[in-house]
Amino acid sequence: MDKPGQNDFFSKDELKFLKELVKLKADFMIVGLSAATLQGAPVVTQDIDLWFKELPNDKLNKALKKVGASYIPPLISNPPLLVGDAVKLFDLVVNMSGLESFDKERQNVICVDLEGQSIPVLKLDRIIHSKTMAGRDKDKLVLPVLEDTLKVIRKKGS
Amino acid sequence: MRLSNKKFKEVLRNKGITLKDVLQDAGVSKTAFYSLLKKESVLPDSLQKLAQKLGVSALSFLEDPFEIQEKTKRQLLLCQKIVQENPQALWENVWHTLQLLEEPPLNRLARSLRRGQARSK
Repeated sequence: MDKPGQNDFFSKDELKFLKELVKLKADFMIVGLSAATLQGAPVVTQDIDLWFKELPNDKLNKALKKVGASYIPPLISNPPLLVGDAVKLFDLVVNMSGLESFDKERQNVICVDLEGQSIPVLKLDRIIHSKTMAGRDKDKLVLPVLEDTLKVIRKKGS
Repeated sequence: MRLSNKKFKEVLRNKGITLKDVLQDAGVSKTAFYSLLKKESVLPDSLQKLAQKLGVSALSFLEDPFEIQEKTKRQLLLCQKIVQENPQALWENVWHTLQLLEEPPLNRLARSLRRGQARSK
């Protein structure tokens, strides 16, 4: 059976949005379970969580403009949002439980190749730490899988 | 791409087996074997043409089941080793991670999102 391809899932604009962020040198990283899957964790997720140093910021706005999307600032009833077809998959993360500041966590980023572009992704051990600190039921369920993935990565890297 | 009689004989010599025995064991008739030897190419013309057009060897399109088996064997051994060293680790988590690490990161993410979205429907 053929393996499902990558480009039959992501739209051109979804990839373009990520690539634009990199091109513009935006201060961001992919976090959460999407970051864990990029590192090999066999978990499922519904969206790609993006953590920016600052919200809003010009570089994010420029990247959004390139793909016909926009930023909705937080209001009493909603968190900051990205709207538009090209950014349906993306969520903005404002607080990362148990983690240091964005600048400090920048040291805990690995670059993952997405179609020739190096995308910053938070390392799995920091994702585990954050989920442990968050301690929500859904985090507790996925933690054993993430911890096993980390063992595999460490073994393969050793 | 021709079948090389010389190379074939060399393999037989290395394995210490006669042509008669290998043909019998494999259920291949002498006629079929000699007809293979006579062929200009043992691969279909269409495949050869594609390879020629792309400037690569037709072999580069082929998947070797023996190689795949060996790779799977290596992964199984690594999986066993990791689980032995980490008794609290679950076999399926380790195995699936090893499988996913064989794929490009974007494929891994696509798989995860595809399943996550299917689950939410």
